[in-house]
Amino acid sequence: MKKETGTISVIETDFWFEAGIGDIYSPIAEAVTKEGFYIQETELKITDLEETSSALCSVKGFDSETAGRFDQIIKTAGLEAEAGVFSFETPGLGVCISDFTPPGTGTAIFDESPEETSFLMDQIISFPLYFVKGILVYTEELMEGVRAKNEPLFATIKINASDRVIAQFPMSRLSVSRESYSTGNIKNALTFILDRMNHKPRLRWIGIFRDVPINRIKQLTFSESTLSFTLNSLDRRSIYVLDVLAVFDEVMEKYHIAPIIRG
Amino acid sequence: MPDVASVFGYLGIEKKSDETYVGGIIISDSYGIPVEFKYTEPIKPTNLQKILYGKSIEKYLTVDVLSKKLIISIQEKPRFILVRDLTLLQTQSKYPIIFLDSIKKETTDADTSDERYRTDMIGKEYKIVYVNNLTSDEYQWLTSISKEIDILEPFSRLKEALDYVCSIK
Repeated sequence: MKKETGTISVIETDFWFEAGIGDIYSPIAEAVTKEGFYIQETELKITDLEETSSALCSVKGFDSETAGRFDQIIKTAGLEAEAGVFSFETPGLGVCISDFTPPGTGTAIFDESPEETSFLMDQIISFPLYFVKGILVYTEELMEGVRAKNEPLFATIKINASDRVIAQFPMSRLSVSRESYSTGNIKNALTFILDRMNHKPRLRWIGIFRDVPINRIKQLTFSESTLSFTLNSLDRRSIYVLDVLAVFDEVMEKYHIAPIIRG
Repeated sequence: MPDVASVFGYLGIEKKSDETYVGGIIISDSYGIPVEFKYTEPIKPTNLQKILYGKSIEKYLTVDVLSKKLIISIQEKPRFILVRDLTLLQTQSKYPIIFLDSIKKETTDADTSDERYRTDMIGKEYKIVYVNNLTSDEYQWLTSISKEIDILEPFSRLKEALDYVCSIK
């Protein structure tokens, strides 16, 4: 566990204390969280703390409901002698305090249980008082703002699906060698283009491009030896993927494509 | 001609200059035509998360969080998933993950020196790195696709799409 100025920074826990809390809260500052316990970034405020010398549930400065919660919380507390750790449970949370030292005694509690403790009565009395002070730090914020998360830190990342997003970015095809295509098939493709022209064209060879989804193209453009196109839909039904021959008509300044058969 | 019914994936994670991470996966058919696209919401680690994860935050985010979630989210069943970041080979996935890049682009020895990695060539143009064995069937299919389409091109589209996703947030 690494303690920083005014901050607890451990693997599972990081929360902020107001400056000037003092050593009296050092057990809280050194609280070690149990597995799965996590407190989000929260500023913990110490308020209305009053001294009391009576029993566990007698807490001044709070309404009965709050004090009652303290009582309930403390009933579940216990000492773990060998670990030298004092642990207690708040509603829904488990917290350990290591090397707990009652205020004013300088004595660390390493006993097994409150019933078998060998501490002096003053120490026992001061113990719950101190403990209640500690609980206050947690309880006040726990009930009002601090949330315990039992999940990974990045668990809420949302995954989106969007065909529209990816469809708007052009796919590209590089022109391929005409060696894969017979002269007859190239001529057929050119004829396909010429038959649809009603003027005498002057054609410039652009290239042959493989695997073009000709009935899904939304926009199409050429750049050097690359054919780029966007799709109007990612729907794979009835999609026709063909090789195409592309030429540029320098008279009309238009590109033309025609399907071409490989082989 | 590759098996036209099969699909494969392109997975990428982008880290922006403001330390925002966003990830995406394109599932593509053998013609390079996308059939599914999933992306994460851009996320920016908080200062707290940076402290907690330290130097491992980048790997944790890209491999254990974003990539893993993206792969789990896809509905298609790709034969393999291509990546261009060697770190992503560590992603837990039920589909083989293959690092693919042009041999013209130098990959440092440190990148591929991990003994778990296997390196191979796809034709004369591409280098692949993978962790588990690639079946001969998958290898042949990948080879076949690489002859058919510009197999690296969808990575550019994926990057553009992720840049766009970040820009509209």
